[in-house]
Amino acid sequence: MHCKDFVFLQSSGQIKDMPWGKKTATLSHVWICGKCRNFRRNDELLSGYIEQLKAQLLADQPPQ
Amino acid sequence: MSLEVDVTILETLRPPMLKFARLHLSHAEDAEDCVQDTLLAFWAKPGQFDGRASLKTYLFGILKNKVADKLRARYRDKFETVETATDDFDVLFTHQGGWQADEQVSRWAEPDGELATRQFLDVLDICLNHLPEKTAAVFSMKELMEMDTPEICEHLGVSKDLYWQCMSRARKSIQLCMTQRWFGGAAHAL
Repeated sequence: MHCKDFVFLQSSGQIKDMPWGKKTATLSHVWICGKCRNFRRNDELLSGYIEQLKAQLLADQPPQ
Repeated sequence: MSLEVDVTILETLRPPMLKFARLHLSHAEDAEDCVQDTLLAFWAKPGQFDGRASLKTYLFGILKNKVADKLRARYRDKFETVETATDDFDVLFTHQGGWQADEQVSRWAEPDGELATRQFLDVLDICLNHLPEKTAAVFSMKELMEMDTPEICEHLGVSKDLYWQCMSRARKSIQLCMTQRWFGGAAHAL
């Protein structure tokens, strides 16, 4: 597995739907690559903030 | 059961609806149309609002469908020339597929405190609005409108491979944009 392949799988959201064996093989890449580990961590952080942005948008109360 | 709805309440809901629509639609007039169509749809059958959900939730439900219809009308079967032909991220990798030696893929620090978080979300909003149109359409449907993958592919007439490409491009572009605009990274550095 090359870094470019891992970044594609991570950013396209395919890893979470992989069967267990393939997922483990894919994620084992981040054990040996710090840059991909950081990319994955940033991507997961991004997901959380996108959720927050969406929640903020839907929760915005109109002015009284 | 039908409920009386004050027109002024609808007016106060208009700005957040417009903001929501603008997040999904690159063209301001499309967003305006969706909000307008939502309000018209509401007024056409006000009796359908039974008060079980809040008015805001009810209207946003209609708005989501209007936005999805607009995305479908604008982009369906037009993905052959999708902006994914070239990928800004390609330059980050060697021909062998490893990271370029000088690429610093830094681990992001989380914003500290409420104000910083709000500012971070504002920058994220800007980055979302800078995505290429078609890429943004796919990304919006998945991440913001919570449609599932087969539904999006069917709605826009795209293959699953193209869908993955769009999603990957979107998330990589946002990460690059945030690195540049929030973390002060160099042009191609992550």
